[in-house]
Amino acid sequence: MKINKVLFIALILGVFLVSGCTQNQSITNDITENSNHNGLEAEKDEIEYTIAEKLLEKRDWDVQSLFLQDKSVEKIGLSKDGVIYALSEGVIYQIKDMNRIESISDSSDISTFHILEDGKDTLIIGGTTTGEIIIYSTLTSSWVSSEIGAYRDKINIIESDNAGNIYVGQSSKEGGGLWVSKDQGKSWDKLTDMTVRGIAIHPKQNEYIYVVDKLSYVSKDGGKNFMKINTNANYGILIHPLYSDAIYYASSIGVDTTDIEGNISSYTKFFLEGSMTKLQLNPTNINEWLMGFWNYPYGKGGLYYSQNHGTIWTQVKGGMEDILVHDIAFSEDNSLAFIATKNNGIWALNLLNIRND
Amino acid sequence: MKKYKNLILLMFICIIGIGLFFIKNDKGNMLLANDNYGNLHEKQNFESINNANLDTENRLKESYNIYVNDAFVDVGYNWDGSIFLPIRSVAESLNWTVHWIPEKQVIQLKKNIDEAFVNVVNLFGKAYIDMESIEYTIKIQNIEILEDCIYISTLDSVDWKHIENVSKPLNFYINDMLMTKNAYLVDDELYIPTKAIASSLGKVYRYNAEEASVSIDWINIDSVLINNIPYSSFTYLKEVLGLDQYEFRYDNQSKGSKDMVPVYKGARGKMISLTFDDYIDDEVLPLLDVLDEYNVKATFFTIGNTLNQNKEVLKEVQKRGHIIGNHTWDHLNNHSITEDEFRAQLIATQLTVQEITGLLPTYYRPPGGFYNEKMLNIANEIGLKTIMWSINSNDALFDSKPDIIKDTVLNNISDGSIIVMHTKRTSTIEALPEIIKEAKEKGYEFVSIDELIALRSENHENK
Repeated sequence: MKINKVLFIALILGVFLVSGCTQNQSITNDITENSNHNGLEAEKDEIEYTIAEKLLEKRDWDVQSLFLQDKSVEKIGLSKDGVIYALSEGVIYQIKDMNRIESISDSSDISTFHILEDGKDTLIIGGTTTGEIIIYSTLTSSWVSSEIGAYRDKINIIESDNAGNIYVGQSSKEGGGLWVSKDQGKSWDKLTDMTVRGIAIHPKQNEYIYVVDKLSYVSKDGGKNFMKINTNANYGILIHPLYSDAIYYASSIGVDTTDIEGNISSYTKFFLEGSMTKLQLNPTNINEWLMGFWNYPYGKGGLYYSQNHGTIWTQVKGGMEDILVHDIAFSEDNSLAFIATKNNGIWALNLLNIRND
Repeated sequence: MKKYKNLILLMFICIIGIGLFFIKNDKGNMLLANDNYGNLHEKQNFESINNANLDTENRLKESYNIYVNDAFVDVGYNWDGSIFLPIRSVAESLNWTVHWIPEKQVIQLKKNIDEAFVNVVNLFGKAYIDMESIEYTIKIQNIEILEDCIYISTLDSVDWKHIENVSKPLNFYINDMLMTKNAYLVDDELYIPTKAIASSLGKVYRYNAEEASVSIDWINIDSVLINNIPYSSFTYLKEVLGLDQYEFRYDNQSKGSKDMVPVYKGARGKMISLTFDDYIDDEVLPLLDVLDEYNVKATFFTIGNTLNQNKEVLKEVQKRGHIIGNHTWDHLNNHSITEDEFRAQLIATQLTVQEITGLLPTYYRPPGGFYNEKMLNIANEIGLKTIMWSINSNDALFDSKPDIIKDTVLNNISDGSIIVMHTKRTSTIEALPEIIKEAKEKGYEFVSIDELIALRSENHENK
């Protein structure tokens, strides 16, 4: 009898909690409605508020579903002025504010992209599933094609260093390589025939180029020669822009760390059931990491947050549970992160709230 | 907010109604237990095992039989829109060496001068990678999906010899344990699946797709394809593998399924049973000492594939009066293997335990608790009763501490509890003395699973 009374009181309390959640949910719904009304129609007026500013008008939320709700978004990036670029099912979308989602690509065969900003123009460098490079200028709102000479298979990765040099990696069963362009994609030089799925260029010493594919390599001379790194973690490479003495190599369930020469210094294992789908370090805080983690055989996982350099992970709740994360991008001021997901579009994570939880 | 006020009010009224209903109908612990469960833990334990089984079957529903150069090698799955293939069986069939690095969940692949590390998806120790990655990593020349089959083929491969139009399949037994329901008589010669007999004997089976050949323990075995599965003549296998110590027979009787139920707990009485799963080696000796000290007899569900390297420890477990059960040969998720593979997982462990101890196990515990009705029947056909657990001590969690294990067990103990614990864990060994002492103080007697099952009421068994 006693237990039932306690449960009854707990249930009543539950009602109040539910009403609280309903209030939070309404934020998401309002946004969804707006997005749907204005959908893919591009408007030409200037941005009044960035997406981040608009989202942070209200603070009491952790996650929100924002755009392209029923679509798979494979990759996401932010320009310095807060515009979101997202790759979804072969198409690149430009999202300037909460109501303006515009497809900017003519074709639907884009496999990856990278944002390059030179102060005047923002260039979207796209790689296609047939080995081509196409470049979009936000100034002219037009695409140009660039001859790179890759295999007729998908381009896996595009990166740039802080001097504006663009690196393209390809890895297919036909072959692949690493290419560099020093003139914003007008011409390309092939650096190596090695197949490449992941690229990181050291932010302070641009001649140090790290690539991963079947194995991991470092070049200390701008890509002329590559040396094998003694790690079996080759899912991807990360270098923190501020604390760049350590190079992080991701594996399914952890990260190997090396010094910039490629000597292994440590291994951090994540005690979670599943496999990493994406790892991102906060550009201003070396200890704040976000990770997509997914247990494929059981269809469980989602977005995970660590405040202690990947030692302890907490799953982000509030609607993102059991959603497969493809990509993560921190906002310029690091108050938010934008999450690209499979079949669930783009979400926002309120880091200001999460940090206080 | 206004528009939700009515909704919240309505919910509030509903909750009050539900609450009043509970109070009015109070029959004691109504929310916490019903007649089938001793406590909430048991209910949650059963539901979690049941849900895990249903979820797994659901996630493995969209499956693909994989054929490499005509011969079946394994099964792949569509998970979240991507097709995943088991890397070991596919890569080994194309002569790549496969080295599993468990602490990283990474696999190293090597063939001639080629080397690659691949990040894998892990289903209970079986590694999968997505089709696109496998294609470029091990340089698959042709791969084609047709309905629920994936056909991988290489150039310049040797062609298989096929036997077509075989008669009705036969049951084939080893030491009276049903090994396969797919043996065939071809021109009065009995043919059995080569992999099934190799795996049932705990031997290493390899398929070389480039040369259309198979080997058992690195001895090349003459084989042909029947229904795209490598088969060998039984007479030939007996001679090559030297199988005189085993009894074999075959028949054509149809095997109907029985309504088998797994045992989750024992009879209603203040008796409980400790069970320990997984590998047996020297690290088990301190655990045996603790059990001896408190005069407790337990059941060890052992994984078969390392028993031959730990024969003396297994004999020691038996000598000290504990029961040895079957925990399969490789500790795989049974939902992810074929029927013949599952039979082989059980039979290989049965034969090995019998060879070392002289006794054939009669109890079996499915790794991870993964089972379905079909598996219960197969275990029964091999002479095994499926034993589950009513208390999960949670000692297998990576951060499990002795105090947590102790509290989990002691707070949830009830009449007939079967407690699952694991070998080779110091936290478990540290927690045990307190668990045994306090449970005894509460009036519980630790009995072997034999005794617990014998005291099981027919009524409860049926439930």
